[in-house]
Amino acid sequence: MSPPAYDRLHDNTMCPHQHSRDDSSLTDRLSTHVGDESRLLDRARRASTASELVVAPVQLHQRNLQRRLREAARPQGGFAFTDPESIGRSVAREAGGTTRSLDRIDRLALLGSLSPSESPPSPDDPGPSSGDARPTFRDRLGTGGDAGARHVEQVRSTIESMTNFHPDRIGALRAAARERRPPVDADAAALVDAAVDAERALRDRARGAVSRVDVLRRATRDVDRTGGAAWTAAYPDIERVSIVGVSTLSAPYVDLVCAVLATTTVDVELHLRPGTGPFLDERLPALLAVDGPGREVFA
Amino acid sequence: MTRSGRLSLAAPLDAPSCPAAEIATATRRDEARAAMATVAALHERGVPVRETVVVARDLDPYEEPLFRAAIRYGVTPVFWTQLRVTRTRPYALLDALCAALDGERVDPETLLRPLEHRWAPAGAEPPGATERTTGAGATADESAAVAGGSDAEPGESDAAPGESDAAPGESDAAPGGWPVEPSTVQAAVRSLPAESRPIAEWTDAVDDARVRRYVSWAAAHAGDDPRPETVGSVLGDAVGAYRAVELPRTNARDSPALLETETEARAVVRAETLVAQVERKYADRLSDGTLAASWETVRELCRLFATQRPGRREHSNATAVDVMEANDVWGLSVPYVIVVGLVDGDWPRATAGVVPPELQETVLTGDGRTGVVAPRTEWADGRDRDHFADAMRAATRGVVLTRHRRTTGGDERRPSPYLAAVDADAVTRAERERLTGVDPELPAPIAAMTPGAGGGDA
Repeated sequence: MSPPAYDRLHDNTMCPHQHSRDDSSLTDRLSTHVGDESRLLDRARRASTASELVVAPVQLHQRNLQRRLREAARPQGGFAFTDPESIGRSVAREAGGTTRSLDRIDRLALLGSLSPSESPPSPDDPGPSSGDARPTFRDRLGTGGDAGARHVEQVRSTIESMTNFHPDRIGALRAAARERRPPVDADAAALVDAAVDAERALRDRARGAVSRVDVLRRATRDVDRTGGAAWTAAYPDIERVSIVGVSTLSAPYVDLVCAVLATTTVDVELHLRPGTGPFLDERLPALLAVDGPGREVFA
Repeated sequence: MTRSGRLSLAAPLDAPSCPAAEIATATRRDEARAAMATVAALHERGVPVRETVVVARDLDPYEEPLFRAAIRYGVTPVFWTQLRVTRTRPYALLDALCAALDGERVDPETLLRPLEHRWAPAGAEPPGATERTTGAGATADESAAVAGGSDAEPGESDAAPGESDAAPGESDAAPGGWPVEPSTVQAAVRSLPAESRPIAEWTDAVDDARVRRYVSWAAAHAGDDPRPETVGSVLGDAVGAYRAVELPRTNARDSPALLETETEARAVVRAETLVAQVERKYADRLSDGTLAASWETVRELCRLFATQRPGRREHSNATAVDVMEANDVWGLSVPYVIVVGLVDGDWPRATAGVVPPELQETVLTGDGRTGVVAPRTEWADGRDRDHFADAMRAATRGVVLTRHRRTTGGDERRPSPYLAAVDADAVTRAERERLTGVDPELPAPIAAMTPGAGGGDA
């Protein structure tokens, strides 16, 4: 079933799998490998500038790779090690956007302060407006304190990882929810509502980004809307991006890959793991079929 | 998605390319003993300790038994914890202080962030301080003291920093007391222009007396080239004030089980140890000339130490065995990997997610429009599978898989389904007893993994 994006004639870049068939150079630039990190390590070269960005979401994986290279006496100059959130900050910085974001402790505190049982807000802190949130969001917060806030934060970040708050994905998730039999249909819909409301409530109160994923999302939009200039400003010498050590492909990461593939000439290598690799490999084309990576349902 | 695609998440994993042995013990504690005895016995046979690694899916239930077993067999363990300390408020306070004091200019948000993380001046007392010695306050101190005792590793930790002095007459005269309420801090941030200035220039721009007091204090301690003693007292005082002011507040609003208080008390103790370590390391590096003196450097050191147990040295210790969680073994290449906890329900373990299972299934399959929604493979034990595969792949000479058969309560534990894919040689009961005896002896299947025959000294 082709999504409506096919028919749009916007500037919005579409992800590689939806471009016209002649433009196969984009899909050529994305490759997936399962359990084959030696492929990366074998590329270790002496170099004064890094041309390959090795993206490892888990910090310790970065150190493990570096330790491997050190023990094998291989040069590391050709590699720059980073994680997705740092990419977000680098691109945002170059594009003049905010790199500051709330951390989890901040978000819990903010969400906790939204509980209806709190004392009336002081004049300095206007608090939530009356039309702010639907009942379900408040219900989940409970009577204040950390437990309710933690639950809402978990819901928010789960839905964020599944959708990156992209309108197409939120829409698809809501549609999938509607098709479930009761009471799952209502529960699932309420879940999506709560996540969107929580993110919105945090956006209204945060100065800067709501989370590091939010910074990454903004950076993805920057890359998309500047036709890749925002990426090149942050990573002028990078020719290849290798993503390693992931067990799941979250929507924020997918959108970043999407934007980079569509607007730059950078190669992307996705290193998957034996347990989940075959599954993710098959799922990947559908995940990439999103229009306007980084776009948000709030806009 | 094809049926085979979806089912691939349940398919058996590839067997390791090197030999595997399996040890089944009665209890988890026996399992920990078998694991450490194996490390010791391999060492006896000439295998350097750094050529072995012990891997658990979740270190929490294994840390203490592994630690005790290691001592019993004369092995020094080094536990690689996850970045949990960095999720605690006391650590966040230290991190924010370093950021606020670094460099010549700072923006309001960075400057005031320590206040959001409950900074208070040395000697500050919470409102109602006289009640601290009774009831709730006393319990908070007790938990902190207990936490301090259990966290100290024998022979390894630095001298514990002293308690903060509550000097009479130093409590703040301004109404409201400490810490400053988040709404006041946020209001202060919003009222100031979003630009970077030297700290001293911010002092007069702030209204609230307490915030102003903090800013003056920060101006006095900020800038380039902090001395180690300054670092120690600035950070140490901050943690001390946190212990004095914030801990009782957590205690007062906690549930009867005091879970949050205990966690926070542990975080405070960790932070205290961390400050002592950072000060010492910073002083060392400065005198070596290997570090530039700055608050940003201090911040990095805090981050480094926060990811390790107290007392662990930064460089990998060649005479200590690494004990880590399965997520951290990815990408490593080590001759002998000992994998503990291969019990169904522990590894894999179902995680409590928020998405209903029916919706999980739809997103995993991703047919039609749902294809754009990103599934979380943990819904189908994705991470546990990958971690097990990583542990197998890391080993170059051999894998030792251990599991236990019953809980302390006597309930049966079944073997992990992941074991089905591995053609492992079972270690017999007699071999196991000789392994965990006074003089550990390698079971035949494990001995066969070592290079060369015979048990000559290395």
